[in-house]
Amino acid sequence: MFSRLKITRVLCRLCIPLGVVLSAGEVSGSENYNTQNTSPPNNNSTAWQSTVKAENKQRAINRIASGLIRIPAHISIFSAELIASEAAEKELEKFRRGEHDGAPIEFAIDSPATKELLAGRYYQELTQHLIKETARWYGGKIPHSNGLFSQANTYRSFGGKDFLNEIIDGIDMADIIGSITYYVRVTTQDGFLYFHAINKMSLDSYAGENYFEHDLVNNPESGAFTSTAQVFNWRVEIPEKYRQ
Amino acid sequence: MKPFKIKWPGAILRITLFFSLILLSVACSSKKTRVPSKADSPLGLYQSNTPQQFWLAILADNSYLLCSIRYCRQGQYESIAARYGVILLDFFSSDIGLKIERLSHGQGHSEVFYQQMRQIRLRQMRPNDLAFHVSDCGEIFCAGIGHRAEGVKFFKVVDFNQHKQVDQRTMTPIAD
Repeated sequence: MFSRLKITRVLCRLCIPLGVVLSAGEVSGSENYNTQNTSPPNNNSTAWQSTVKAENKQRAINRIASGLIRIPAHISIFSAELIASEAAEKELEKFRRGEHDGAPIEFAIDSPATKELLAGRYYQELTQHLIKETARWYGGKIPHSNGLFSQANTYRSFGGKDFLNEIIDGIDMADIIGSITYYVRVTTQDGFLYFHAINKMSLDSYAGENYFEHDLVNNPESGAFTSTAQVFNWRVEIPEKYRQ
Repeated sequence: MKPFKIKWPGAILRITLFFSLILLSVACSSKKTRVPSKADSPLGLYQSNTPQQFWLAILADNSYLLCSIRYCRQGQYESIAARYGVILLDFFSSDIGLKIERLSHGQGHSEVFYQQMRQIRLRQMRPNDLAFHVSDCGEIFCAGIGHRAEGVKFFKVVDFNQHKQVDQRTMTPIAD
């Protein structure tokens, strides 16, 4: 499947970031937990001391959690890049290495990355869900033009079952995006529904923090695993039954 | 009997790929609970959950108008048949719209990110208009942008029907 040269190159490259990971984990997480109460309030210094102690403890836990999660992140993301599609590999590598300018990347309607995303069954279901919700928002019929709808809460999460469905044909955009992070904005123009979705790829998302809600992993502000954002645009014709 | 030998390069690769699949499946899953709207008549004065203290009003007659006191103008809203949403017109053209967009993306982004996001938004159709959903956040009526924990939410603090302040925990009017 892979050439010997590629596997050797992979293993060599894998060892270097591991060392970086182990050392980077020691300093990560401190930025977000700077003690906000730097001076004790006049009336209750015991309470203040216990608050500082609790904050320090939390900071230590966060530092360990962030450091630990970087190791499997490096290994698994790098491995996934090997079998990922071109667009997915680019996004994974950008996130893993943190070599980007912090600006979001926008994928146009009918771009290969968007097509990959929408080929996934989860995203086809999401689109149908949004069409239905838009119709409900407008009381049954969707305006031919100038309609606007914003998703209130996410559609069901992209779960393990979805991942297994998608992984059969390799790792593509649908696999690495998972659930869309922010609301999806829907507008209508000339009989078409236009979808605009923003996803944030972050270390806490990687660690499943959104899922488990422990809030232990801190995203680095620079360097490896700095958050990246992807903006997807796609469109579909307004279904017959919802046309005005 | 043939001795058991582990082929290390192959084994490492297989183990790595196995853990990749497990970890990526967790990575791609993010739990965001879907909260059904309970807001039948969410009329009132709303306040943001951020230190910026944006005050917003929701007006009535089967439509909603969510706007800042400063920028609110009669007729700057869209009539919606369903009774659970708000669309603001000319919202993003104001300063408050830009500030709220910044807040809705949360902390930890660069200025480049916010500027780029604004450019992307301005290229969309109806770039100045914003749709809200009025829902509940922990059983308190609120209007939310986005659905991440750090997203901007506007909590109801005054009920316009009764012209009295509302206790945010119990949603009962506070006596004068």
